[in-house]
Amino acid sequence: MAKTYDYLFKLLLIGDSGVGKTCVLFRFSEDAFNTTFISTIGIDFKIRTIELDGKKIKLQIWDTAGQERFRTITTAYYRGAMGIMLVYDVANEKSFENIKNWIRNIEENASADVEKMLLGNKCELTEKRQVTRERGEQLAIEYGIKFMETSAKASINVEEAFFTLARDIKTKTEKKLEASNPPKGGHQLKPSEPSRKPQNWLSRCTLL
Amino acid sequence: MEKEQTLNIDELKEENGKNKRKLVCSFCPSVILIAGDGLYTEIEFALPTMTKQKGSDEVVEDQLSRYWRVANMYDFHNVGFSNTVDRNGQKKYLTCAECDMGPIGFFDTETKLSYVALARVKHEQ
Repeated sequence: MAKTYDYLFKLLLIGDSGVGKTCVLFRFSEDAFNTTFISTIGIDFKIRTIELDGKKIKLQIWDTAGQERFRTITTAYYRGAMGIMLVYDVANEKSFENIKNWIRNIEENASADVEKMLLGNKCELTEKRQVTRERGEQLAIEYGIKFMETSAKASINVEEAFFTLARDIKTKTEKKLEASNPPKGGHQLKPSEPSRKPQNWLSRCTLL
Repeated sequence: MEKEQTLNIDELKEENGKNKRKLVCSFCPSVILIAGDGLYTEIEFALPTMTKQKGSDEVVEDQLSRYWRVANMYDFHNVGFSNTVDRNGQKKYLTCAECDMGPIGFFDTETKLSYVALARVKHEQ
């Protein structure tokens, strides 16, 4: 069957347990008497389709499935990840301080050019807030990544956050493709040549 | 929830067996599969009911046999995959990606084929 999408991005949600990562991804609908069958098993990942600039993008989104309790996440989990949502709870100072540790964990285990974004979740908890919006913004600036406050519970900015991250990955991917396959100029690949996978800067350099 | 026996299959599938209409969650507006991306398949597989009483460990199942087979997991528009369960081999249940209701079908980790139960989704034009 023909490929029905233009891009496939693997995204991860990372942060301390209890920050609402699961709610960013899952919304188990429960009441006092009934529970959904699936909530007892848990969800591994989701596939979502979005459209950006006329391109169809498939997002495969993974939760850490409790691995974060051990304060570290294995290399296997990061394999192939193109985007990471770093999530903290605005009502939990410790979860905010731990973002630095998570970033270190990512630097040690994930691909160097993985796109990251910082999310301050549970922003509906105005009275319990411990981390100001400004501190979140400041930390994001420090790491050169984007920032948003979200409320998975009140459905604030969650969709927007995924769109923003996906757009940044798309831009990066297209730049890489252009660089390794320029539309005009002296280094154009012959049409007969098989299409190349995106290459890193160093290996591209040897081509010139 | 529609009963499997009352479904009018000829209204739902094309001559080549593909789904004529898009598949939508029965509980929310989330689109699960676009028209033409599933293939009508008859296969016996019992799915647990979507809700159960709190505190009850009893799993009630519906014996179902009419499914849309999806060749590639990325053919789905929006869907969730549960953690792996042992059901005659390793399987994952499929859920709505928006409201998490499910199982709406299952994924066979060996063949990599997904099956969406006709009785667990809405068919919309």
